[in-house]
Formats: sequence, structure tokens, C-alpha cells
Amino acid sequence: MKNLTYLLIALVLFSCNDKLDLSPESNKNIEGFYKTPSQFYQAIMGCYDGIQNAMLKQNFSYMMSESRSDNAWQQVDYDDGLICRFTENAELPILNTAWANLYKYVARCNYVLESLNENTTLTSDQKKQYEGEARFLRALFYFDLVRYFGSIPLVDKTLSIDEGYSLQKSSTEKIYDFIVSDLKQATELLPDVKPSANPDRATALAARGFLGKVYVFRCGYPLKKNEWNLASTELKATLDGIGDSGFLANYRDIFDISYENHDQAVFSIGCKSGSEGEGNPFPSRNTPNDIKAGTDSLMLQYGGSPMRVFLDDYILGSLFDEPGDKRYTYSIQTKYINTSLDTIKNQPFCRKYRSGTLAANSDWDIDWILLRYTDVYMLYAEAQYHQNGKDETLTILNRVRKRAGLTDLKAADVDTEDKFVEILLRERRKEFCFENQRWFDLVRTDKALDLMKPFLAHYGSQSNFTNRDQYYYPIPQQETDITGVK
Amino acid sequence: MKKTNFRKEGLEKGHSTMSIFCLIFLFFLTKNNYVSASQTVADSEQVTVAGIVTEATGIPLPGVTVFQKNKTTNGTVTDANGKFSIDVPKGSTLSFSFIGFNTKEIVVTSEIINVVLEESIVNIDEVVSIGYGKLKSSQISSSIAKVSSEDISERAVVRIDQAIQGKIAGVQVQEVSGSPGRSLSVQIRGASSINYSSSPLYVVDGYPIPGDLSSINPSDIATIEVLKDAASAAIYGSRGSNGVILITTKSGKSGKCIIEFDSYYGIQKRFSKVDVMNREDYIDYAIEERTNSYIYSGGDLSVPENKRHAYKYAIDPLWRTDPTSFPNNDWQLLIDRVAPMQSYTLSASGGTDASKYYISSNYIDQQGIIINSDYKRYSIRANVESQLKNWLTVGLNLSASNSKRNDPNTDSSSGPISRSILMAPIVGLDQQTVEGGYYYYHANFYLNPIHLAKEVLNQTKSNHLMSNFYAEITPVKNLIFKASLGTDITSDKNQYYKTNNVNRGAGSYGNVANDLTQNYLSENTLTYNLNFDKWTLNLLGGYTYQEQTYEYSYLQKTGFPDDDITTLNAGTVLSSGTSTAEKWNLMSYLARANVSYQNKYIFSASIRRDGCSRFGKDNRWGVFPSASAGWIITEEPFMNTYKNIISNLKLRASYGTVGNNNIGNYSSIGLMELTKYVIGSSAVGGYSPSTFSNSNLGWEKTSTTDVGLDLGFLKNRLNLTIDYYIANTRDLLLQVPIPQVTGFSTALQNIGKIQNRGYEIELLTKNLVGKFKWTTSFNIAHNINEVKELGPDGSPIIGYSSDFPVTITRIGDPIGSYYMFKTDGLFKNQEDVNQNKAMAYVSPKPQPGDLKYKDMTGDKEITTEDKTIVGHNNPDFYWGLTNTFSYKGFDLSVFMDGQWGNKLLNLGKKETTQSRGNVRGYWRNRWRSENNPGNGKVPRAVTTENLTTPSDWWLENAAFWRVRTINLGYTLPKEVISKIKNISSLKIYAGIDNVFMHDHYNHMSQTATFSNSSITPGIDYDSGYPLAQTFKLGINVKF
Repeated sequence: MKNLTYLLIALVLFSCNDKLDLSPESNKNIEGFYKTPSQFYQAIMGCYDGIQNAMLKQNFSYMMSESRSDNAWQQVDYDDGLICRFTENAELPILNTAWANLYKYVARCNYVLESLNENTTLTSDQKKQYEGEARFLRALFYFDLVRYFGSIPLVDKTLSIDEGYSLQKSSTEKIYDFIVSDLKQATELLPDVKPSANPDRATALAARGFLGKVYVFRCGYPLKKNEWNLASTELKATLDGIGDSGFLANYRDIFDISYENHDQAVFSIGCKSGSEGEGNPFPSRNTPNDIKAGTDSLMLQYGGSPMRVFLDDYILGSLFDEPGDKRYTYSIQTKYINTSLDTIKNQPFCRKYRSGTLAANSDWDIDWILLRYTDVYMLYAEAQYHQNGKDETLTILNRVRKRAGLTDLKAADVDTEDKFVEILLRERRKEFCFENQRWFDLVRTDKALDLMKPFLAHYGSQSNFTNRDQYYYPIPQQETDITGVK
Repeated sequence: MKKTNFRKEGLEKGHSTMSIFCLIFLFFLTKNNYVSASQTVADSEQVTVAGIVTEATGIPLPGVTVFQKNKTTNGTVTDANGKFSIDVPKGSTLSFSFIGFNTKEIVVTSEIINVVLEESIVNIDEVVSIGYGKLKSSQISSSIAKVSSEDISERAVVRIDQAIQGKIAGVQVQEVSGSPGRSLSVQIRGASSINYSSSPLYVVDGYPIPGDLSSINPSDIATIEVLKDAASAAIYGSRGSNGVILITTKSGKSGKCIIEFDSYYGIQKRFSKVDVMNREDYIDYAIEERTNSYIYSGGDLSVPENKRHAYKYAIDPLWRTDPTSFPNNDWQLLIDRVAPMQSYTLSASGGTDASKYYISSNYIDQQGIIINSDYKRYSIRANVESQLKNWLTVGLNLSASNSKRNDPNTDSSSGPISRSILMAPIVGLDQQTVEGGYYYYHANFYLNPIHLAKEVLNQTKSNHLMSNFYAEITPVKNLIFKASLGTDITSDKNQYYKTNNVNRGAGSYGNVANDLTQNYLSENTLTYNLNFDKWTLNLLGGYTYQEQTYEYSYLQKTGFPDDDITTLNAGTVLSSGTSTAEKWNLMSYLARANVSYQNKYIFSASIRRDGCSRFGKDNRWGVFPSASAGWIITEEPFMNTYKNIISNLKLRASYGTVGNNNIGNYSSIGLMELTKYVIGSSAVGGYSPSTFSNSNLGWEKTSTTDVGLDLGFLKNRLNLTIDYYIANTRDLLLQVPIPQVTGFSTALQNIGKIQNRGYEIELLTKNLVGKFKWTTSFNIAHNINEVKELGPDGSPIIGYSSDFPVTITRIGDPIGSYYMFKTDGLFKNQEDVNQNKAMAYVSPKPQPGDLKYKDMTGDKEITTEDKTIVGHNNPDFYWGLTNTFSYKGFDLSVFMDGQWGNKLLNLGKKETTQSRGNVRGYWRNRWRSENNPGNGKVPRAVTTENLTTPSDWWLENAAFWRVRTINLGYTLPKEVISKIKNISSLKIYAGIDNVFMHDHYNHMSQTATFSNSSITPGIDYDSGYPLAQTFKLGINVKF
């Protein structure tokens, strides 16, 4: 009986009160986060993770930019088949993926910025660093959002659900103003060092470079502002800050692993193979699915992918319209051996960034460059052109052409603005092909309707793209269904 | 080519396990004999009474319990010849009882008493488990259904959920897949939750188990009770809203030890097969589709046919010149097999009045009908109970099982079954692998199904241990205190390996996942029973605590030099590794009162208060009350004159509230997710918010009103039970899509209301009761599901599957109704195209033969506004029908079931237009030209956005009826058996499972494999494991 009593006591004690407060064991709880320096570091890395996803890893990075342009004719199997044919509608899933994710990454930045305001434990240097990075990254997310969707809701703080419902769209101009404001503050907050001294993270120079680029976009469609001088100032400061060593002598070196973390990359996105999904998927993604693994000298031991920017002889013919362009050689692979051991010659594909090691399919070690020195250089040339700096413009463009093995342009080639824009777009198209720039260049110069016409006609789809509304994607139906914002 | 040998284990392990079981058996048997022998009866004026107990037909009845009334310790059972002998005081009363017969009492007047027992017609007053107690069925006023072991023993099943399929009105059990050992979908009275599981709570011998039923041997089951309405389920409070299934395992009865051996051997063969093209049909289709698609994509027709894009548009010249040079493979038949299944069960039960035991062991081995898939399970059980003192009873229920399941991802949407449907007949047996090469015109989209089945290892080994120890103390008369302490521990180990050969050359990889679930339960209840002349009162109060921890770890490696060694030590690159842990706990107080007055008026009320860690701090405790009342009209004096006709008439009404706590463990807490970045050359970890926090998050509550009628006619030859119910679920836990500008796509909130209402009818008739017996049991249920309120502003929820918007959940319609375009036939000719061009969606230039959509808004064009509800996945009716016949030793049962009124969605239809793989047989009737329009429903062979747009073209009719089981048994006559020493009964039986089926979906399981959540129900991807037709032969011997 006595033993039994003990047993019963044990049974009852087993269930004592106050046990229902369980905190997650394998996840951090948002309560108590954003307090210590290491937590802020982790939170900022979360924002960088957003950049890595949005600009490189997630498919919308190319499906909504490169696939939309005349650099690719996509298959109907995937979402960009409709994007490329200009037959997409608001229900297209990839639009919502882009929308939801970009705003998710904006929110990550907002969480950091708001918590920094309330924080008292960080040093002022730490605060400056994290605020600068959060503003820099937030600006880049909005830069993509505004170029994809045009007029959109502006979220500058963490929102409650109710606030989310009541938020209305802001004008394109207001969004661009916000981007400029963030980048300006970032130039003051971030460390003023060369990119190679602070690889894969934001620097004041990178912020200036992007700020200059944003001004160039503000000068184009739809705002058409005259801020070429502002653009020149920032771009020039970036170029000077980095120095001419940023301009690599060989085009192929730009995409070579040995020039990773070099000053040629004003801002690069860090990648690493064998780190559970931190590798660069770009080279494998652009390789045909049916390539026979291991048959290629360029280290494709894991094969390719069914999704890529699809090229054909027509596209390459118009893209590389001058013979002898080295950029053709280093951007395009013209043949491959497929899994049936046939040599395929009519399906060329992009081979940029195929350098360095990979640990698995789509898991390359090489970083991906979001802002190249040459981009800043050419944007500067463009800004100078509009401020009577045509000589400097020509010098820069010819230097870029020379590197590619092409002959110089003459002053007469760019003596009118129309001619210049045409030449500039052609040069930029060759220099930055498949780097997700072409569509945005076409839109900002308002040439998309004209220049895409023959291309779409070639594929029998010219009637699908007829007005400027299609410069932007519709706000995703899933969001409209919830908020009513169209 | 290298052969990968994944099967190294033989039966050695089985033998060693079996011998351990035998030892346990011996131990219990010896102990029991000792207890029996030590029992002595010492009393004065004893007489020895002997006799034979027989049936009305004169056949002796073995196993009849004979005891002295009011002194239950003095008892015996009849032997194989129906003989008994017992010492009793003269003038005392002997009681003879046996299941299925009316108990007889005889006053001892002579020393020889021969007794004839009469078969009871229907024993309606059986005892029913009600959760934390038992009650006579006549005293029940809520909706509880009961199935006993005899009702479920006829099918060759490895799982309990299979056994109850079609047996209970209002319980919808559907095969998700025919894969061996795979769990079934069980739903009671429709879906009551939008985002969370609609599967019921399983309670095994009083223990609410955390997992499903995979570890329990169906032959250990004594009874299954289903608590269908909220009033009966409310005693399980926050876990009762999907209904509760109470499983009671067998226990020993005092009397002679019964040893039972049951074994069957079955042969399974493919029952369902998808109609696909053969070689000629395929080539014909491929040429047509590729040409059409090439033209559609804007291709230049001057390019030679074989120089167009390889797997999309190019045409192999051999297709035209020499089609017979290709093989004509039927891939579905190449991956299936005729597979055996076998089961062995050995059990022993018995005991004295003081101690009772039931022990069993079972081995079941089911080979799958798809190569390389199988399921094996060993299980043991020991249920023992002993009355140690007259105030103290202790007991232990212990069960353990060990199972191994092999399934090379057979029914995944890119697994071997899907590929056996999609692989074109012209592909060679080893083609479409790295080593066999890929057929140029198909590229490497679809991999070889035979190699996928053979070269993917996906093995899950599970160990399950469940124990529940209890003590019952009776400190004063009629008061019972019961304390129990139980554990339920499951561990699974999954080993996965995929060879480079079937990984498109991306390298072999392997992974190992381990999980461990540990569940603890402590229950303390007090029961007080009072019986007066007219009143009976039964009171219950209790406190319970349950907690569970879950741990998971996972490792993946790549870089295997070859496929000889598939364990991870052979891999060179660690590509992924993680481990996580979770916990929940639940604290509850409960109380119940059952009152009966003159056995006429019955009343019951219960209340449970639950606190659960899963809910927000500010809303952690919930109260779940219920009440029910019944009136047994046949007990009223005025009914006496009708008693010959109406033998039982009971009216019931109940109301109760139950909850649902299946929301994940930390849903109320804002969580941070691990996000990573790379700086320079090192990966660094970061954290980002992943969920909104909601400290108000509370229970989903279902309140059910149930009215029912139990009717028995003609001495209960005909029994009818009818229930009507309305179940309102409010505070739905909804993953509400929120404005994504907040940075989150959804947030979990208590919003919305759903109603399930319907009726259930169960009919049991004894059509013939003479020597030839025939009984019929029929059940049918009808449920209407309707969303009543939704979200903050009532806006509908669109359900996405594979990124396609396919369902809608909106006010006034069932959850997850299929919402898409309605097709309106085909464009008949160019004139039709010119006139109705706008009746196509997306595709800017429809052609004759393309699908046409219905303009629902009347605005003369097709936009998203024209989508409409084109069907839903809730059957209007589902039913089961069992007929049993018996004559002398023969018994035959025929079980049928079916449903109608529901649809399912085949997402595979979006892919199967493309000739890079095979296409379904319906394409034979496609539109080819205006003069050859096929059956007018199937469009022309071309891949356009038109076909990849969700429309009712993707829907399938899920109505079916089937003869599920026919079982024939023969029990050897007792006079024959009695001549065989030690054997008291011997039965041989044979049966067929899945005899015949009438349906519209290739005899596949009519529940889709790909997705079956409330919000996207019934979605298939042409990948379901085929159902098997099983022929079995078995034997059952009792010693």
C-alpha cells in the first residue's frame, strides 16, 4: 500500500502546472531577436540572402527580364514562354513569385532599420554599417520592383496585416525618389573602400554606382527627367574610386573565377559551391538539359537544366551583328554532345560564368556580378553624351569595342541622339547579353516597341505587343484578389 | 551494366524475432497454468454437477462459461465436446453464457444438467466504449458507431483503416494509393477544417495516439467505436472536431486458455491500368502533334522534319519509313508483377477471474505489385490485467512492432508509375537512362520506369513501442480511481539512394533521415457508479497530461564513386545535413455524467477543459461542453402492445462542442528562418522573419447538433439507425492569404465558418434465420459541405496546385470546389473560329479543333472572370453493403461499396499532350479535321496554352461502385473437430479482394495521390499506385 501511494504521487507529480509555455527548439523566436550585434549581423545576412535569391537564384530574375527581351525565344513549357510571347496575364505564377519575394526581402530590410532605431547596445559604427547595408539592399529591391511593375505600393516600415490592406499604390516617381534617398544615405553610411576590400558586401562605391544607374533610369522612360549631371557625378565618382584597373583587358576574364572579388565587380553576389544551396546556378541553368555530362571541356560533369534562355541562329545573328566579336566567343557555346551522343549544332546557349568548380548540378563556386565596372563605365559614357561630352562617350565606347576586337566608331556614327541611342543599345546588348539588362534598357530608352517588332514578327507574335502598358507586368492577381490594388 | 543489389536481408531476422515471441508465449502460458492449479474451492455441502451444453440443433458448444451465480470466482468452461463439471453448493444457481447466445440460469437440483442454449437474435445491449469508460448501448444518446472484429476480419488487410472501409455510415475511408503499408485517408462527416488535417483522433485502449494506425495488427482488434457527433467526441475536447475512433484490442476472458492460429496466403495482381497508346497509335499521334505544335510555335515549315527542335517538333524519319523497327513496349506491364502476401497470427488468451491475458504475435509480408515495393511487419501484443486485492486491479497493455517498407517513390509525380504511363512504347527497355542513352526525339524528360523502380532505394524501417500501465483502486464501494501512465514511442529510419544512371547523369546521391517521436500520457480518473431501483448514475472526473517530443535528423551525400555501396560513408561530398526538434503538450480536466431513469430516459453531459502549448498565450485554454438525451419509447407501457412489431425505438438528440488543435507546434509564435549568404569564400548564416506572431491564436471549434433514431422491428430482425446532423465549425484556423506587401504571404488566424450537414442511415437485417442464414448490413451517408464565412472580408481563397489556380473556397460553396473554365466543345471549323475567336483563353489564334471555353459573363470574351465552379470532390453519397450467408459450416460474405457525385482533378492532363512521352488512349478519338472530328470532345493534337489552362477538361468523374470482397469460409463440424485432439475449431477460408469495379477512372483509387488537402482536394497526377486484385486462402485453428 505504501509503495502504491508513492506510485500515485509520482503519477500526479508527472503532470505539474505551468508547462504550457514552450518556446521553439529549432527556430529562433522573433521576440527577443534584433537585439545584439550578432543578431543584427544575422539579420543583415538575411537581407543579402534576399539579393542572392532575387537577382540570381530565383527564376524570375531572368524570366521577367532577359526572357522578355529580344535576346531569347522561350519554350511554352515554363512561365516565361508567355512572357516572351507577350501573352501573360495577372495570373501568371512567376509574377506573384517575384512580387511576394521582393516585398518579403523589403520587409527584411525594414525589420532591421526599425530595430536599429530602437537599439541602444550597438556601437555607432555598427549602426552605420547595418543601416547603410539595409538601405542599399532595400533600394535594389525597389529598383527591380519598379522596373517590373511600375507604380506599386511603397512600404517603408514593417506593416501590420491591416496596414497591408489599406496600402495604396505610389507613383513611379515616388518610388524612384525613395530609391534615390536610400542610396544617397547608403553612400554616406557605408565604408568607403574598394569592392575587392569588402567583397560581396555593399560599399559606398557600390551605392554610388547604383545611384548613378538609377539617375540614368530616371532620365529615361517613364520619368524622362534631366538628371544626366547627377548621374555623371555619381558614376564618375565610382569609376575614380575604383580606378582603371576595374576595366579588365580581356572580356573573358570578367567571367573567370580567377577575377572573382576583383575591383571589376562593383558589386557582386557571393556564391559558394558545396554549401547547401549557396552555389551559383547560372552556368548550369543556361546549359541544355540533354547535354552529356562530362563531355564538355568546361567542367559540366553534372549536366544542364531544362530552363534557360533559349537561343537560335536568328537571335545570335541580330545580337552579334559584327564579325570577329570576341564577346560572341566568350558568351556563346555553339555545339555540344547530347545524351544520345549526337553533336548538336543548332541549339547555341550562353556559357558565361562557366568557370571554377562545382559540387553538384547548379552549384558553382563563382560569384555573380550585379554591377560591373564596364556597366558603370558605359552608363557614364551615356550620361556624358547627353551633356555635350560626346568625345568622352566615343572614347569609352571604343575602348569597350576594342576589347571585344571590334573597330572604332566614328563621331559621325553618333552625331544624332537617335543614332547614338541605337548604337548604345546595340553595344550594351552585346556587352551585357544574358545578364538581365536588355529589357530594362529597351524600356528606359522607350525603344522596346520598335526594336522588338521584327523579332516578334520572326516568330509570328508581333500582334501581341502593341502598347506601352506592356512595358510593365500587371500586379499579380493573387495580390489584387486580396487588396483590390490593380 | 552494373546491378545494384538493395536487398540483402533475408528471413534470418524474422526467425530470431519469432523465437523470442514463442518464449514470451511460453512464459505466459506457464504462469497461467500455475494460477489455475492453485485455485481451490472449499465449501461445505458441495455437489459435483456435470452435463453437456448444446445448441438448439444438438451440436455441443465448447467454450461456454459456466459459473456459480453471485460467486463468480467459481466457474469453468465447457470442453471441446460441450461437457462441463463443476462443484457447487446444492440449491445454488448456475449461469451458462456464450457469445451470440442468450445466457441461461439453472438452479442446481440434480447432478446432471444438460443445457440447450438459444442463439440470441440481436444482442443490442452490448457494451460500447465511450472514451474514459464504457456504457451499455441502450444507454447511449449520442452518435456512436461500433464495428467488431467479426465485421472486419473478412478482408486481407495489413492496416485497420483498410478494414473499416465502407463499414460505417459517415466514415469515408479512401485509398490514397495501392502502395503496400501506405495509410488511407479517413474522414468522418466531411471536412471541417480548411487548412488542417481532417483526419480523426485515434485512441487505442484509451491512449490518444500521436500517429496513424500503421503499427497495429488488425487481428488484435476487438472493437472499433467511432464517436461521430460532437456530444460523444467532446470528452476528447480540443482534438475531437474530426471525430474520434476508439480502438479496443482484445483481452482475455476468464476460462480455458484459447490458442488461436490464423494464417493466409494471398496472390495480388494488377487491378487498375491506364489506357495509353500502342506503337502505331503513338507514332501516328506524335507526327501529328509535332507538326501542329511546330506550326503553332511559328516554326518554318521549310526546315526538314528531323531538323526541328529535337524533342518538341522534330520527327524521326523512321516513324514514317519503318515504324515496326521500334519496340512496342507496354511499360505498365513491365513494372508490375504478380505478388504474394502472407500473414501469420498466433495468439493466446484466457485467465481466471482474477487474472486475464491476451497475447499475440503477428508477421505480415506484403509484396507490392510494382517491382521493388513491399511491406513487412512483425508485431506483438500483451494485454494483461490482474486483480491483486479486492480493492486493487493493475494492468498493462504492451505492444511493439517492427516494420520495413520499400517503395522506390513509386507514386511520386515523377516516379516509376507515372513514367510507366508516360514512357512511349517505342523506347527500348534500357533506354532513357545515362547508360542506355536517351532517345534523341524524346530527350531526357522521362526516365526509364524499370530502372527508376530498380535503382532507387527508398526504405523506411519503423519501430513502435506502446505501453500503458494502469491501476484501478476501489477505496469505497462504487468508486473507482484509475491512474495510468503510458508511452508511445516511434522511431523511423529512412534510407534513400538514387543512382547516377537514373539521375540524368547529375551524380548518385544518398540520404538518411531519422526521426523519433516520444509521447507520454498520464491520466487520472475517478468514476462513481450508483444504481438505484429506477435510477442509474455514472459520474466521471479526471485530469490528464500528454506531451510529445519529435526529433528529426537528415544527412545527404553526393559524390559516390559508384553504386556498390549505398550507405553514406561511400559518398564524398556532404551536400546537406540538419537536425530539428519540436515539442507540444496538453493539459486537460474532464468530467461527465450519465443518468438513466427507468431505462427509459437517458441523459448525458460532459465537459473538458484543455490547455495546449500550441496556442497563443492569450488564448491557450478552451472549454468543450456537451449534452445529449435519449428516450427509449419501447420501454413505455403504452408500447407493450406493439412489442412484437417494434422491438426497439429510441430517439436521441445531442449537442456538443469540440476543437481542433492540429495547427503545428509553434504557429502562434513569430519564427525566424535560417537564411544564408556568402561573403568572400565562406557561407555565413543569417536569420529572417518567416511567420507572423499571433498571441490570440486559439481553437477551431465545431458545434454539432445531432438527432437520431434507433429502430428495431420484429424482435430486432430489422434494425435501422438514422442520424441527421448539422456541424458548424467556427474560428477556423485559416492560413489567410494576406497582402504580400507585408512581407508575408499568409498568416494563421481564427477566421471563418464551415458547415457540414447530412444524414446517415445504417440498416441491419436478418433476412433468414433458420439453418440457412442471411444477413444484410447496409450503410449510406450524405454530407453537404458549405463555407459560411471566410477571411476578414469574405473574399474567396484560390487553391493552387503545381502553381495552377484550380480550386476556390468561397462562401456558399463546398471547400476546395474546382474552379476553372468550362469547356464548350471544340472549334468545329474555320468559320467557327472566325465567329468565336474570343472563346479561347490566352492563345491568340485558335485553330479548328482547339478547345473552346464557355463565356460565363456574357461579355463575349474569355477572361479570368469566366471561371466557374465545375465540380467538387465531396461525394453526394457514399455507401457500403455487406451480405452474409451461412449454411451449416459454410459462410459467405459479399461486400460492396461505392460513391457518387464527386469529381477528381487529373493534373497530368496538362502534360500528356506532348509526344515526348506517351499519351492517354482518349487521344485516339481526337479531332483531326473538320470531316474527321473524332468524338467531338478531344481536341486536336497540339501543345498550346489552351491545353495547359485549367479547365473541366482536366476533371474526371470519381463515381464508382465495386464488389470489393467476396469471402467464403468453411468451419469443420464440431463432431468432426471433436475427434481431433486439442483442436476446438478449424476454419478454412478463401476470398477475393477487388472483385469487380464500375468506374470512370481506370479502376484507380478514386482518391487522388498528388494532393488531397481540404483546400485542394482530389488532385491526381497520373501517378497513383495501382490497386491490386487479391486472391487469398487461409486457415484458422483454435486449440
